[in-house]
Amino acid sequence: MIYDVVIIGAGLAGMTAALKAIEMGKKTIVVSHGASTMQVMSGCIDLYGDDRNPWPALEELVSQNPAHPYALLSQEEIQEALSFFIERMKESCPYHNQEGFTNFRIPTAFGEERSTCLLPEGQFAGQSAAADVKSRVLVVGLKGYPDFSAELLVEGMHKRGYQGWDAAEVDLSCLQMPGERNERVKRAGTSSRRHKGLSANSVEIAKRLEKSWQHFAEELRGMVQGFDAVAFPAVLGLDEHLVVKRGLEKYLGVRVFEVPTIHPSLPGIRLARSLGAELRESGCDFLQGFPVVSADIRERQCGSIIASTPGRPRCVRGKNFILATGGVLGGGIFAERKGAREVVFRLPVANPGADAYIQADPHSAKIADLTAALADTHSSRAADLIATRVAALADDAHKEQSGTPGNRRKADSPQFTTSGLRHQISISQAGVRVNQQLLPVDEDGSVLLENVFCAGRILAGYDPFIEGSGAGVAVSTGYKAALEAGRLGNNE
Amino acid sequence: MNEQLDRLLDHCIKCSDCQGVCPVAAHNPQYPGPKLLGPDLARIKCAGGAKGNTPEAAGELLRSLEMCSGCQRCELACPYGVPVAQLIRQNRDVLQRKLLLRDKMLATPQVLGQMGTAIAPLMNPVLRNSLVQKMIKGMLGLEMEQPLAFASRKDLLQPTLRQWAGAAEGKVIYFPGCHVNYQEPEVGRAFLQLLDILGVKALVTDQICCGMPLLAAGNREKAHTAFQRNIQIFKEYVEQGSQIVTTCPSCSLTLKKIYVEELGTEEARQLASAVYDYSEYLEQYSSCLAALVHPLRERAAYHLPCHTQAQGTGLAGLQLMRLVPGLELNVVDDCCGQSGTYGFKAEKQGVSRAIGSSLVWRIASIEPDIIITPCGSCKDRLSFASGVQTVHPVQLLNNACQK
Repeated sequence: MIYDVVIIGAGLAGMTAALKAIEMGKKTIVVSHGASTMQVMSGCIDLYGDDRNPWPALEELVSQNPAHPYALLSQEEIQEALSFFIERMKESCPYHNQEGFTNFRIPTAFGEERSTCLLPEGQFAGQSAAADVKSRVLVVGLKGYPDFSAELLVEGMHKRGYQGWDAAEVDLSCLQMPGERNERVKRAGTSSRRHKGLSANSVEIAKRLEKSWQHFAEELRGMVQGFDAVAFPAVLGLDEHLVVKRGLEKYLGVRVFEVPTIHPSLPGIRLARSLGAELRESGCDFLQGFPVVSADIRERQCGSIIASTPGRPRCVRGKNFILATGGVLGGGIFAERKGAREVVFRLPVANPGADAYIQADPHSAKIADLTAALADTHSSRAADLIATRVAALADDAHKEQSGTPGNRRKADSPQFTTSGLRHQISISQAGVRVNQQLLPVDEDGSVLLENVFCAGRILAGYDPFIEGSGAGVAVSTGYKAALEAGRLGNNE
Repeated sequence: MNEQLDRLLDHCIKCSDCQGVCPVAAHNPQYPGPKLLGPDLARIKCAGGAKGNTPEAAGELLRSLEMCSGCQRCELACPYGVPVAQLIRQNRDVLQRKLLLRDKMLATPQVLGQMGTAIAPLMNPVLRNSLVQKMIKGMLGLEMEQPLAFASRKDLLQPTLRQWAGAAEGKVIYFPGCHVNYQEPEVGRAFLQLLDILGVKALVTDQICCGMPLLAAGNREKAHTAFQRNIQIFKEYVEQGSQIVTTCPSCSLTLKKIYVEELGTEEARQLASAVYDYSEYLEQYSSCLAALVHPLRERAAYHLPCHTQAQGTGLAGLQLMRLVPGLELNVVDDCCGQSGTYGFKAEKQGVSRAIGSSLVWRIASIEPDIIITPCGSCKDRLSFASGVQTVHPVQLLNNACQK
């Protein structure tokens, strides 16, 4: 079987591309190594920057940096992609947006403020709570879930003048696990590991809440009197998060919202699952769990990709391909000290502003020595040796920091300002250069592959961590890649 | 622990993707999950040095090792290629537990099967009796609510491989596996008929077990013996280019992946490259089958078992089903919770049922006329829990060709 569109990568860009390709009536398959990195995602679709209205800033960015992925789309196209995304997620994972796709302001887990363009329903009430300085909000922490501190959030809000925010804590023992009997739970679950002071994972709590959010609501009922809204860490359910959130709101009579936490982050996992489910229902095929190790390329046309499966490799044939394997974190780019490479098609990796990264590190020789010493742990003198080396390294580092001229350029050891940090981790700009059709190009701009479109984090020239543009680029370039692939398919 | 595994262990960045997909962790509050039992525990083991000394801190983790059902979903979810399931399996070594009689029984399905099939007409009704089920549960710790049903001896498949005197070159060998051998020979017969229609004369192996149940019971030594034995049985055929085809996803996963992981020998790799899942084998005949099948007007739930997904052959099976006109396919890919022998163990019954119930709900919402699944143990579980007729894809294809 030959697919119309083969998508490599099951992250936000890949799955958005798949949704669009399916909608265009293309036979589509998503091939991925593992689950995506969406488990570290807040679930919000950040577009760009911190302004209330991100569009003027975006225009400026694109004019200053024509190699930025946003420069590949018009503002209308980006908005079209966002609308498409909202429309398709309407049922299973609904999103809210403001008129003209301006930014929402929402509180973070530290009680600070951040901007985002599309808000999932679970976090929606957060923006109205943060809009009014006089709002009364109860932040509920969970005993046994150390990844979220209600006090920390409330402290941050107080510092910013939101005096009506209060912290509270609920014990997780009121939650029932599927398969656990009622009586056992009522006896405070003494047999459970989780209640002996050990902590629980957010996914686990979410699963429990799905089954017994009513017990949880019962526990909360007395606490929420006089508050406008209640905030929770983002653990309110996984596959049935809408039931839990809406149920709690109805039962408690106040608005409920979630604040995203560290990974595993439920809002990201929910979005990934909803996208997957939506695709499955629309008839998209999946091959998950195996790396794509090579491709069959003839005359700049890819005919098939080869996934490494047990026994023998599996070949997936297609007319058009979308490369959405992600960056360094997602595994689309493999980085080492010598440089970086793209893993599927061996496309050249550009790294705008790579000087700090590519340059030989004066420390590396010393580190090699140290590794050799560590390998020789049987030697009685090894411990002494290591201790001396570590002290010497620390000494060097100290000298460099205090400004003693070493063989490092001064610009490479800056104070930790935002711009310095950006320079330090310039690997986050590494990626594949593409043309306006999202086809990969080399340094001179000539097309390397004519039916492989790149989308999302694999693209060069932007830093999602500094810009706050990761999800926005993923959705819009994923959408565009599908359009381009579909268009090419129709012309044949 | 071997060097390669050590290296892969370093790839774990604790993203918890495996925790999110683990069916056991989602339904059992005591279970620490694949991240802790796999890479984390392996690190602790490494720290314990070559002698395998395990620090006290791992004590609590160790007791949970047996709760892993071996579905392999953690490994598929890992974005960084950490062999999580393999690590968990290898970590079980530190668990020095005496095997119960029940574990020994479940570990050797050939023995159980030979006994069961010999007295099937007598045994099956007895096993359906709820009082007997309770007794078995109390005495042996075997959960029999979903009864084992053995085929009677006269219905069993006839092994033909050993009698074969001709050249081994290019022969197709059918490896039925214990479930087909002792419980559902009709699946094997359907497959052989289908091959016959396609002009392929397959040889049938003796009633041998792939060895996976031994490994699942924690008897690694005996499992390795079984692996080696099977490798020797097939060696001659593999060297002469024969293909070994199975209809059981767990058997083929074991032959293709687990042997290589466990033994790491060249012989194991050779065997792996000669083993085919039924769907992989039939792929080459797709156009032929498309011409042969008659339409079936049925609404089907197509279940993708964990072990089919773990070898990446789900797609091939699905595409075979799509050859049948009129067959409405609704794909479900959650774990059924049975996991071979896992669901038969009384202490695991609660979590096993809980895992299965969400899948059964999903299937019920499809309102299918028929459930299709290539895995024998999934099939037993699903037909028992949903009450819907459940068939193997080769049975369906064979029917569609016969009509």
